[in-house]
Amino acid sequence: MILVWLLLLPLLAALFAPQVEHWRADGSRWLSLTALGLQALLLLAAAGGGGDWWLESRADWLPRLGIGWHLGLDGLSYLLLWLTVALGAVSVLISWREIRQRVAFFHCNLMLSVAGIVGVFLALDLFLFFVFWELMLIPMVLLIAIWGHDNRRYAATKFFIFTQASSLLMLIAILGLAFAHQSQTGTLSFDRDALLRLELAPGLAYWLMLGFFVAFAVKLPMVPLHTWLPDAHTEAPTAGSVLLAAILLKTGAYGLLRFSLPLFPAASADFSPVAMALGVAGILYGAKLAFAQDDMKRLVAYTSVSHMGFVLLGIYALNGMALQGAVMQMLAHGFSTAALFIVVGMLQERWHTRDLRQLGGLWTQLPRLSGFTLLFALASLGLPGLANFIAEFLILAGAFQRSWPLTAVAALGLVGAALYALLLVQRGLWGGGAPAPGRHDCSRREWLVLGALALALFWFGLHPQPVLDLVREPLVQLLDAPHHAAESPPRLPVGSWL
Amino acid sequence: MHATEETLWSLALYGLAVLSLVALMLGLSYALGQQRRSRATDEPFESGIVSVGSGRLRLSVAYFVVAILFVIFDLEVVFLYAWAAAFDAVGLAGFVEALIFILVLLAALAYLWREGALDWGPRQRSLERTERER
Amino acid sequence: MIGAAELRALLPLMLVALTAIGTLLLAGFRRDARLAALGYQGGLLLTLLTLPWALPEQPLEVTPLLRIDGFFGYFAALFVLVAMAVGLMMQRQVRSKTSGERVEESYVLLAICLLGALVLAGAQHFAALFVGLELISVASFALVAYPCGGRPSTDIRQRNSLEAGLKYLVLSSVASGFLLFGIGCLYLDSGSLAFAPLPPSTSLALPGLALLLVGVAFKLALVPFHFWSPDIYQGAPTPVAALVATLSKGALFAVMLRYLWFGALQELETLVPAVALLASLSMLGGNLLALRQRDIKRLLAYSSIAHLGYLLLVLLAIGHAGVAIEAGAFYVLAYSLTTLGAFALIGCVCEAGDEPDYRLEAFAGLIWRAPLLGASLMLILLSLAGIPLTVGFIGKFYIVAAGVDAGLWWLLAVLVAGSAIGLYYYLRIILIMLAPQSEPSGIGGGRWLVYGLTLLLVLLGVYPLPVLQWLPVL
Repeated sequence: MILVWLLLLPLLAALFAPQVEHWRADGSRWLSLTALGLQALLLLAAAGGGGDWWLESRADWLPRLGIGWHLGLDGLSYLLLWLTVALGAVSVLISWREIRQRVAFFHCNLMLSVAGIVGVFLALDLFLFFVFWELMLIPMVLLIAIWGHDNRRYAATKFFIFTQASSLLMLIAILGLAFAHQSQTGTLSFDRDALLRLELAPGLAYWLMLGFFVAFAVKLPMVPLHTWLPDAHTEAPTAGSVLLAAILLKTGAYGLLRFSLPLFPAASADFSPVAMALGVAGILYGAKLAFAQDDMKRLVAYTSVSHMGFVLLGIYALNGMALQGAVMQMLAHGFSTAALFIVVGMLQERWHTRDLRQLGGLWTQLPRLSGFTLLFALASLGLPGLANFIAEFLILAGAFQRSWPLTAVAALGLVGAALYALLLVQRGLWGGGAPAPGRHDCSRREWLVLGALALALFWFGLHPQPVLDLVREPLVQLLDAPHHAAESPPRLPVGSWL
Repeated sequence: MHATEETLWSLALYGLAVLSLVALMLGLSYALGQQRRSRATDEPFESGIVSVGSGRLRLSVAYFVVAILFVIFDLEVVFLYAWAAAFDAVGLAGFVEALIFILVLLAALAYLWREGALDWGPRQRSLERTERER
Repeated sequence: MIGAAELRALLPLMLVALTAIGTLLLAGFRRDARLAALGYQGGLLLTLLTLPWALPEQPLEVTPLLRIDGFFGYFAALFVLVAMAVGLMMQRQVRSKTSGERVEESYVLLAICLLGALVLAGAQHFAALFVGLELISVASFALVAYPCGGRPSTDIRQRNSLEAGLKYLVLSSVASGFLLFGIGCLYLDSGSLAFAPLPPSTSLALPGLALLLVGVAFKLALVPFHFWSPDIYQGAPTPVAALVATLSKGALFAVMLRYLWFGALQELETLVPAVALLASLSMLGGNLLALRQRDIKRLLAYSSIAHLGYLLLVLLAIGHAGVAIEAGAFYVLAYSLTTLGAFALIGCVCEAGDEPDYRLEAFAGLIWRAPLLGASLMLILLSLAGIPLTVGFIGKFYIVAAGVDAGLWWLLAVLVAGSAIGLYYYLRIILIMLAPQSEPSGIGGGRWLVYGLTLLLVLLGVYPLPVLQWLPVL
């Protein structure tokens, strides 16, 4: 029941946002915050279950087609749900002043998107998963298309087409699985548990795996399929960018971990060198392009490509350490990139430009905001002590066991990260820019948001063990999948290194 | 298989024959006919008199209505004749079916009458009556 | 011989025929648009309500022409509902344009169309197929050219619809010619007009089937036989365009489904490349041509070409996949419901002013002007695009399922490509709708029909089980 409420709360908030606004001007903001707060309480209540799934919710939906309502919560989804709730709240807080038009509709879309994302993190029936997967996109497209910047239509359309077309491929793959189930057992089924028991022919498995992989890789984004991301990020309002970068990209990685790897262990193992290579290409390519940007927001967007390349590398290294690193990177990237987007949004609000050629010398004018900028830029380059460092270290250490040449190339990405992060700091914060007296520094609300994000980065950077413990069980299961035994590379005991 | 090709060939041959016949007719008339281009060539032939006004005359719609009514009732007779010829064979069921057919036609006739389709001439009395009632 | 059981099974057809005649007489003896509408809707409602009673337990052959079974029942119910919705749209159109034109006869023609569709739904014989098809076509010619409120020959709208009617007449007759030729070939070959497998020694089967295919492709407006459809959609009065898009196409598709299912499966094998080509061309061509349209009705015409292309996938899957017929049946429902919603909305938004405005820009700022209508439009477009929680998604899901089950991988790839292109223009309308309001313009009547259809569209998208259980189980 808790799971159903987790889904229902944001939906209700979305539904009632227009009504509430009639009573109070900023009612919808408080409503969204309340819904997210209640979700957080529910998550607290759900913590620490045992077994494969801490909580499960099952019901019939379309039994004729073997489609059921099946939600499940485990450590991995628990972690990502927390990320969703936290950054959802951050999105509401930072849009407090940025969004002035059609506030209720904005929060309606925001909450609908959150509901879709929560559904994605919980769904265990592939049909249900697909429904949520598509549902979270529509409000996001609207967020970009209505409240975005100048080129918003183009960005929204591109985002929509990329993600929808790739997810149709996934739909075909899902149906391929369901019919494989029918041919083996006589009934259609879309349930993950049932599909895990399938014995697929290698060729078929490989193609179906590719269908899933493309959909997830577009969302991740993986390098040749990433072109929607800079546009979408750049044009979206800050809250939209935060939601996109911090949570939406994670659904791709989550999908790989939850469905692609367990359902097609052998095919994934065969495919892993390619995926790892693509991940490395993403790391370097993202870093290179980030380095070349003048638009701050675009710069941050390309760092996302680079960081998510690490996630892809970690996932397809297929051993415990790298997988833990990948999860850690999802978390760290969620916080650090969201924070950078927020900072950029705040700068834009004050200077009405994001162009690094026109900015400069902020340190003297906005010391507090600049301090945060520096901190988050350092996090982005993977400074020890911050969460990103742990993540990248784990990923590289894990991937090294799998393929040292690729890892060596990937490590170059760290150099690139240092370059773009320091360049951002140098061009934006130091030097002399156009003096603009009278800009106010962080407000209390902004201070609260940035401070909380910084705290989170420090916390997970210095004390990552709770996170690693949380995801240990799901990852062990992932690697222990029966079909894996032959193909999976030798691995270290999960989490034993700390 | 052999039969297939044979039939297809004959079909193709037939089509070819039709086409060539048409081509022949058109071509011959083109080749043998007089080719004269003068000012009056494209004029419609009006007993030597230069035509006046548009060819699009306004005909009373009643002509068309009567023509169509004729066609409809003529066709009806075709069906009824077929039924009458097989009266003994189709029996009561056939009688009922023919009855339904006639009743439907009757309904249409009633509609046409009310619409004034049966009125001759420009003044449509039944219509005017309806208008007055309104 | 026709007995009580057969008469009972024929009840829906008879009721619809009675509705047509009754409305005709009503129109003749009392000129009252509302009364005619009442008679029409009442007759159809009666048909719908007695349908479950009239359906026999076992499939029943009523004469060699018709077969009354679950398949007939499903499509009959669907078509009656579609005809009722079109009738409601017509009524709205009439009320808003009070120019003293006669509109009562349009209901008669609608009922005749419906009768043809019902005959097609039950046809198991080429004679029934042709009779049903011509009933629909002949009534549609008149309806397409129908002066829905315009004054004859002075009104520009009227001129468009006359042109459309003439075009439809000519092209549809050509298609019927092809169809008849094809049927003739098949008859020569097998000596029977019933839907049954052809004898193995077939010399004329292939040309016959090919001609049949051409005729059907013409009527369904598949690329490359699609040229007439955008002009018809644009010129015809909106309710009639909705009728042509849903009822005519749906009924013809239903009868093709039955024909292939009963008879020509193995013959189809030889035609697979041709059908696959038609399907791919329609999916790609329809969507590509829709990209550049600036007129919402033309855009919908092209989008419906693409949708019929998706539907052809079902015909190809029919021999291999168990879900194929179910998929086809559901997709026709999804497509009809969504298209009706779209046209009802066009009638409501674009025809509010004195002069109808079918440019896409007519929707600018709709969501701020009329939030509920805007939301409806969004849902309708999402349903056309096949996004979850709308009936269009379940339909597309079914189609893809049939394709996967039958292993039609290449066509599925084309479907993905076509859908991706389609997303662009559906989203474009949504973006136009979201744009800040340009100029205030009114909203016409008939919004309740839009709301109703949209609600149904979402309900069936979330919980389609009631319909799924009713689908003809084969």
